[in-house]
Amino acid sequence: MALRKNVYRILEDIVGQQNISDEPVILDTYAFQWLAETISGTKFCSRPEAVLLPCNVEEVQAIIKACNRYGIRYKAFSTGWGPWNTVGGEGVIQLDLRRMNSIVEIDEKNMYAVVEPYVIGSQLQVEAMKKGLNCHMVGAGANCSILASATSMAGYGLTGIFMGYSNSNVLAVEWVLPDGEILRLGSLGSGDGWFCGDGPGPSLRGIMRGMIGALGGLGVFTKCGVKLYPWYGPPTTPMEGIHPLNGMPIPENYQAHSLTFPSWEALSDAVYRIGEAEIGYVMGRALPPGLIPVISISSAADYTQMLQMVTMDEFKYAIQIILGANSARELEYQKRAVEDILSETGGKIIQMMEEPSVKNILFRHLIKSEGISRVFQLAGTFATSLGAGTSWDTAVATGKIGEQLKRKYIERGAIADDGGDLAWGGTYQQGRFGHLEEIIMYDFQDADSLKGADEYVEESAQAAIDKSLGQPISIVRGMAEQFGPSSCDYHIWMKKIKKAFDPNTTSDPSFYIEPEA
Amino acid sequence: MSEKEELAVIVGDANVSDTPEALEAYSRDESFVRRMKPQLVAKPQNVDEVQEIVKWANSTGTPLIPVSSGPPHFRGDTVPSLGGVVVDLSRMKRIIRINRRNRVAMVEPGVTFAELQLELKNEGMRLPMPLCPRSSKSVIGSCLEREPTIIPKYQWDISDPLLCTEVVFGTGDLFRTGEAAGPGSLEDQWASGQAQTNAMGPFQVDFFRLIQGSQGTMGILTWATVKCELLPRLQKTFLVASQRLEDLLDFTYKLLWARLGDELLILNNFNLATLLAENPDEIKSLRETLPPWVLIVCVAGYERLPEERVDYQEKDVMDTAQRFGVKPVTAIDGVQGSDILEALSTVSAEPYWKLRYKGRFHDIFFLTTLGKTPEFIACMDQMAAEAEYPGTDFGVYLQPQIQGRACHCEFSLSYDPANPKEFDKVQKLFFDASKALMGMGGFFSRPYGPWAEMAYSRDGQSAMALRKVKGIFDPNNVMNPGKLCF
Amino acid sequence: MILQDYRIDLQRCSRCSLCKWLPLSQIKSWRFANACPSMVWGNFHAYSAGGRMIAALALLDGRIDYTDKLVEILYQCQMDGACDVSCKVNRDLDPLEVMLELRAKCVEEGQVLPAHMVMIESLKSDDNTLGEPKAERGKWAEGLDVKDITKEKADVLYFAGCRYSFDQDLRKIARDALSLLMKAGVDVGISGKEEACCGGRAFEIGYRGELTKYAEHNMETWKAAGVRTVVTPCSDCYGTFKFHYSRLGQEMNVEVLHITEYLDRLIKEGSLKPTKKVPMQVTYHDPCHLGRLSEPYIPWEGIERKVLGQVIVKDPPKEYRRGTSGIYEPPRDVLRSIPGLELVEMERIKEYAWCCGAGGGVKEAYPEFALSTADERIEEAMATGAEALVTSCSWCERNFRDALERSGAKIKLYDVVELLIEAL
Repeated sequence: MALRKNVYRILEDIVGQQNISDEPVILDTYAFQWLAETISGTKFCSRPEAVLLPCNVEEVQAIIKACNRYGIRYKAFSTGWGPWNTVGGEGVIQLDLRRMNSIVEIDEKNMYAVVEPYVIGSQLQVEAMKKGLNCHMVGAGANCSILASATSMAGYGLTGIFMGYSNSNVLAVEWVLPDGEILRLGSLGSGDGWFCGDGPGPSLRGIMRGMIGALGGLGVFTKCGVKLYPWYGPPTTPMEGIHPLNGMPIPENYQAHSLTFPSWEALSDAVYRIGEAEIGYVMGRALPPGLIPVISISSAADYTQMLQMVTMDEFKYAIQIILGANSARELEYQKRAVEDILSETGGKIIQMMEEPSVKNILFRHLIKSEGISRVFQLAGTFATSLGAGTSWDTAVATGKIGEQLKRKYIERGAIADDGGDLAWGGTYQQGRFGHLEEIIMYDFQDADSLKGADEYVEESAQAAIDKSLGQPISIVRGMAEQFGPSSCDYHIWMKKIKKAFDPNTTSDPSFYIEPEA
Repeated sequence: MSEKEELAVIVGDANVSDTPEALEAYSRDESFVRRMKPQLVAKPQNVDEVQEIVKWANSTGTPLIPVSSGPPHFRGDTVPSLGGVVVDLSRMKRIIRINRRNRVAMVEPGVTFAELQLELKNEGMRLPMPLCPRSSKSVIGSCLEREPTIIPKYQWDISDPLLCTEVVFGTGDLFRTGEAAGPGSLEDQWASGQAQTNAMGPFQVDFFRLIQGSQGTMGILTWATVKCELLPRLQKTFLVASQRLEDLLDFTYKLLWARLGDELLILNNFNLATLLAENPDEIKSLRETLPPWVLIVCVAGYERLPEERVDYQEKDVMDTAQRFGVKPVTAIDGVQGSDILEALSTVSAEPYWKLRYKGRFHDIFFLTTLGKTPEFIACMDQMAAEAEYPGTDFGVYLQPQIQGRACHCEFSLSYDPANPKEFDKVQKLFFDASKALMGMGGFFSRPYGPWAEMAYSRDGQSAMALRKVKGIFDPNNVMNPGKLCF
Repeated sequence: MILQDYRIDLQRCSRCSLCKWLPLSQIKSWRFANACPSMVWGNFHAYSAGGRMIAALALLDGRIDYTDKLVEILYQCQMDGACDVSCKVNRDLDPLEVMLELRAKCVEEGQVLPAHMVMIESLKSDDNTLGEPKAERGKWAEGLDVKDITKEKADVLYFAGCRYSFDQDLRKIARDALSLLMKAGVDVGISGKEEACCGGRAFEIGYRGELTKYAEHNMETWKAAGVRTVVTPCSDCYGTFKFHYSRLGQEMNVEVLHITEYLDRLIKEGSLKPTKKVPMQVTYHDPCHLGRLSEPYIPWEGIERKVLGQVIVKDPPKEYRRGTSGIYEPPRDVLRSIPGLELVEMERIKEYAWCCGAGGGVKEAYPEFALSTADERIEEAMATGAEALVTSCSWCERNFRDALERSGAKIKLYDVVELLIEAL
């Protein structure tokens, strides 16, 4: 179903000829996605009818109003990584917000930034560091949009212990609603600035995103304020060593360690105690056993060699931690706290990871959030499962269950044998809650592997329901209907919201929900 | 059956009342909001009763006005706008669960700060409180009002310390928000180790944020979990006095940046005097001796290395102070930091501290950023002068929020309720100043009483969006109608 | 390999978009975070390396057919390889090779640009891509008392390249560089009008046969002349000799050096002694073909096999070009040897350098895009506060000159050679 010519022309008038296309080659590059095979059985999901590159909120608004007028659906994305960014079927145009890429403001004293959709984590981070600040980095990587993570998509990341979760980092928001009206959340709506996203009265953040995000199903976010956090290091952070195994020299007020414990229970206790001691700048299972080699490999071929060289037992119950402090005194306090916690829990520092060059690489991985896409490198692709935001004890239980569930898929050769344990995650807001998601690596080009991965993801989602393990991060189409019945029928309320705010169902509902009938 | 009889079936005869005294008590508060008597007062004891009441209200078209805290009330949100039934939740007083490992407590709406703090103390914890709340203040009521707490570093999100909730929506449907939504019952969740510590969700929605700040217009909370903190083993309070507010701000910003200090707030001399003194004369006398502005910073040590923690924080505070040319001390002009800390750590003695000077007060509060507060204060000074309200008689309270991203700015106007002239003067000043401060960019995020119309007229889109939300969760507009924008 | 051989890799692109950015830990500012000129120019995802991988897959799968837009997308790219460096931080993919294969497929299937056809016609008739008569190729060296290696023996062949040979604005640099060698006593010769194009540009735009032809011709010429070393001031030629000639699998039997490498060697040996002060703050632009694109091609033939269930490894292990062994220090060392001269660095340097905009047939087919890319680099140079932008490639020099002429930006432009001459 191609766009009618007159409609195309109307959209073209809004963004300009250079910024709209319905060329098949362009459309296909928006249909292709990681995990597309789980939706369509191929690497391509549906083609959008056209792709538009608006450059400001006015253009976004005009597009959405036109969509409402002419009955066209739209789906916007920022950096656009993952199948939830694709259009849900025929008759949908794609808004690529790439041209909206400004850091509008960094308010140094009040510690927040205002960003447009296409500012990526790395960009904001380096500009913030120049002002003694830093931003929460999602585990997906610093190549992801800050705004998308704050407004529309999950937000786990190992900086969470010090910098929270994306949902709780968002301040005021500029939001083009599905009907084309511009809603400015919080202080912005009254013209008072970006420092607060809530009110007057009830906070409309309540319908904006939740834990996972509306995933492009409820309008388009065009600017937002995000909290920044202290950076105790120098304003610039040159790398050392040879690309791509660069290390980041550890600044004076920072330390990086890998800590190992005798059991899951001891690890769990230690993580609780770290949170209570209010220490830790980055913390979590950044390198579960199956991922340890990626710290010092540059290709998949090195992986198996490294896997054999590493003493896996040391990493079985391990976490990585960066300590960061305002002063040498505070760092000393943090070091002593870590020593105490290790002593109480039978833990120790993994000496292999104390080698300066290794530590510097680890520091780069954790601060720059650059390494996680390696999970694509080993088997071709990956999927994740479980991983609710919940108590750390439940997160650990989840990790154990994930490992058990994976075993049979590993034994039948369907997924990569990563030792069974790729439970990745950490805690948020100084240990307030945590998450461990169980990652699997598999070869989507191998039918048995793909089938096994699908089965595992399904089985783990069911386990989350059956065993009350919290709300998993299974971002799939229809997830609201899948999990709603076991979660207070929230999907029914979502349908009402969809109907009220998107009367013409123009904002692509495929990863959100169809409106109430 | 009469309405009273119908409600009595739900909550029992003893818990529904239409005595003139009861109705009178709920018909007004200390604000300038117009009096209106409810028809009945119902006091449910559990969620089933609440749900039945809401369903009954929908079937009869009766407005419901939920009330959690005991009197006195100050903001007009519990005064009926259109009559109806007051749902007084004070009988729902269970502290359902305290979980030390996950630093969380689950409480019903009738639980007050004093009651919860006592139980938490036994577990080695505390709950960050608003500035010296009145003894009858409900924990959940305070959370729902987004009342600022005095420890900004623990306020990651403006919604803190509120976490998961159980709510009966205006439709009568029961819902649990955040992690508590499921999968599984609460008991199932507890069995798997969950403690309802994650407020977000379920999944793609954050409905607790719609209930919070709604002044009872969306539904009725029947329990909530709240974020608790460790009880300090050791605390040290520093006071930084200044003639000019501006001289404290950069230092305060730096403390917030470095996460130094737990309790962190700025009071003017009037507010500090009122907080510490017991009667008007003492307040006047103390006000005269206090410096115009005092920054209060408290450092604490908890279970781990408390001495070391206090030591490094104290030294870091002092080093920072030196860089900014200010002097933290432990006492000023006869006021000990420890006395202030005590006042900050407990609920108010009777009468409520803000009532001590003249018997009544009215607050004007809004959000801004710390750096802008002097402009608002200058405006307030000027307006007070124009209104011939003594500049020495209003309190100023500045409370950094969201770990320093915003600042709660509060002016407290005291007056003698028996003096009609003073009443009129303060009422006029309240309206005029509210309007002026809003015009300057003060964000009235919690628009009580007359502020609602003013705030929503500045943000029509939010009002429209909220009406849509209201249409979903309370389609018959039974929940506290006449407040906010519906 | 042909495009079909990369089919599996094409599917493995995760659409992470890392190819659009510098490697994340190398990003130093919001402003200069981009790695890919094409993406900045075209904005649609198709203009990225990842986008072209998807386009290639769609083409192979028959989802799309050739259109003017597809061809435009494939050719609005300088083939500068920055995407390749960024991609390989975490992935075992070869996006640059895919893009080269894609262009070759275009040419094979007749999908060519008129501007490129003109270049190829010129190449066929006059052994250069610039439309200049072959007879005038040696004119740049007129008046220099230099050996003609077609007539007499010399240890070193000075290979000027097409751009230096014919571009009248740049000829002086070619002459200066040669003079420096002669001044240092190097036994050097040129091949004058017998010099022919390196064939690199033709290869980059998909005309693979031309590379083979010129590689064979040049190597035979060098062999016949008995030279031990080939020195070129042109980074494009250098990159072609090192990267593309090596993919042909023929033994070169000569040492190939860029002029900056040779000059650096002469300075360090004491044969050239920069003594005059050149009080200037400069910044150095790494030409792509001297930098990341100058690493030799690494042939690999093997299979993929699975270990640990589904972990895919290449057998034998495949080595990847990552741009780390480009020629980065010699030109900088030459600059550092100049008294009074201060070198300040731009944000995107060495293997992460932003392209000048001229490569990949872009200057010829899409001049506006070429200049826009140069503008970006000039802005980055100016952000350092340097008085001058220095480079060591005729194509970079030409494109920067054109961009500066158009924009009037206030920054001087030099070749490394020009500054060294001033210091002697």
